[in-house]
Amino acid sequence: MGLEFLNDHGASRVRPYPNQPELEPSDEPDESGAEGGGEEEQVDHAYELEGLPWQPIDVTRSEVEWSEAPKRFIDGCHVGRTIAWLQDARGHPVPLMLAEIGGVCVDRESRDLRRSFEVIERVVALAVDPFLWHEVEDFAIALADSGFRLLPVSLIKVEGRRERVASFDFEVMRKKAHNRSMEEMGVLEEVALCQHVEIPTVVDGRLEPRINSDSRLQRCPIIGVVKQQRKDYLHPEGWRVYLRLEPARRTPAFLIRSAGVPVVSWYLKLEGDRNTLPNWGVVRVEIAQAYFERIGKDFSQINRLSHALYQMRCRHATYGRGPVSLEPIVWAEKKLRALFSQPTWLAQHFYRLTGL
Amino acid sequence: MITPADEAEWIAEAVRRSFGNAELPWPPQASGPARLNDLISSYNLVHEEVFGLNYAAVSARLQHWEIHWDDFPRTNPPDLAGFLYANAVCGFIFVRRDDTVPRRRFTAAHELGHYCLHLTPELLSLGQDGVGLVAVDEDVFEAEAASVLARERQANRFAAELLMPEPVCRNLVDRYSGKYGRVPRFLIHQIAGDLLVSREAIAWRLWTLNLIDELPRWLSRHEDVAPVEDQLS
Repeated sequence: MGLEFLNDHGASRVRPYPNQPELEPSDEPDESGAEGGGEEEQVDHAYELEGLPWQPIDVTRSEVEWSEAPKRFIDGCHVGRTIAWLQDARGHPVPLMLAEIGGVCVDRESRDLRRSFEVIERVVALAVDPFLWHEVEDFAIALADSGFRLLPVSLIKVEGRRERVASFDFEVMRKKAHNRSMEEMGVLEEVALCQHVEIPTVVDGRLEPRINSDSRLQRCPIIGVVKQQRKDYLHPEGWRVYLRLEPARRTPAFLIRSAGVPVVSWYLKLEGDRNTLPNWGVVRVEIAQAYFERIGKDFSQINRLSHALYQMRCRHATYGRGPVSLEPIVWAEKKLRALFSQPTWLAQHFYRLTGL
Repeated sequence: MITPADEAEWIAEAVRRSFGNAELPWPPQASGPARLNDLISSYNLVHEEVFGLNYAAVSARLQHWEIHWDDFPRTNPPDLAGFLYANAVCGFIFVRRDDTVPRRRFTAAHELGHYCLHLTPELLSLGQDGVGLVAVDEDVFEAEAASVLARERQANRFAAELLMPEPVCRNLVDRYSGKYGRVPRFLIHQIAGDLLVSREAIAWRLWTLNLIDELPRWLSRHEDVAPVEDQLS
């Protein structure tokens, strides 16, 4: 059957369109890549101050030690969309997401940035379970021969049932495909991360999804910088300090205990003045507890690191996420994106191959 | 008593024979999934996927092919992952359609393993008297060590070698490690996708071939079994 699989199942093209609301809220995680995750976590707010009152901490009082500051910056990029949809035998919609995904590492050498590693793939994310396995097998072989990797998308878990099920809500199915593709991008980011784990490295986002798979990574100098805050880790006293933060100030560090990757974390304000929102320009920074305690639980290093991150903040007013971004990460994404194909060309190429 | 080494060689030889039977090259090329459909079709076997597979469904499907098989327990029919029926002239593989595609492929390969390793020799010894033999699998675990029952373990190892041949796994690991370093999560995701098998199955396979140093934590939390070599020694 091969690439005819799509036509044989009545696939048709889909134009670009804004994401639609779901019929009912699903448990599917948000697509933004922001923090989240359903794992059980416990927060120890006394980790740094051991019961003393919380105050904002001015990180500029600690000189940056550029020899210990982050030298590597990891980012991932995902450019893709739902370009077609088909239906299974029971009539459920099955969206097909075509994407180019990649992971990149940028090295800081003195004041210069240099791309040191990149990995890029073309993927097709599709829920294949509603179809016969031998048809899917032929399709996967034909895709591989054409330079695309098939990412099987899981169906929806229903409590009390062993098997997963498809949904009639197109948006739920589309989100599943998108998240599968994003998950694979995270794997490519991990590849970029693992090239030199002994060198201090910043990753764009939470540590847990990136270093959970290999316990050795938890003992390495890897720093997660989370731009979008979706979880409440602070107690009321912590929130009061958070809302009073000035640029280059941080909250005291707290410990987030979890089954996966326990992390030492704090909030750092990169940008903002009197007229901005109180939560404007704040990032949450994470390092693995195992690493932090291996190097002697030195809180002055958190100040030096925070000062270094503050120095690396993005200062481009035109960049939308600038207030919570680091310049090397913005640069990394730009360099990786430049290596991708034009999305329109890629979609047309796929349509030609599959006869859609 | 068959030694672990003899068993491994016996199974490897059966897999090589299957590839030869289907006129597919051995070792297979390291691009894309094994052509399981061609491998099964090269025998006189029919495969079908059935929602809610159980004895009654199997009997009904066989009836469709004019084969009468109703010698099964009628009370509380268990849900089946896979079922194999074979006689001297033909055979039928049924797998549970409710499972994921990678799991269905593994189950189908497992049933092919039963056919090649167990039922074919028995049928040959019985001659052409039309008797039908069956292999019933209420569940099939993709970890080859998951069952201590010899026949199940052997069928699992056959399925693993068929869908994830050792030379292919070694080639892919060498290729990816050469380009990107040995990153276990990447190897598991990438090769599972390349071969259209589950991450659980490929993680076990790479671990038993010593191609990754440790099982991922998400897998070791769920599977409390030792590798097959440990169980046999």
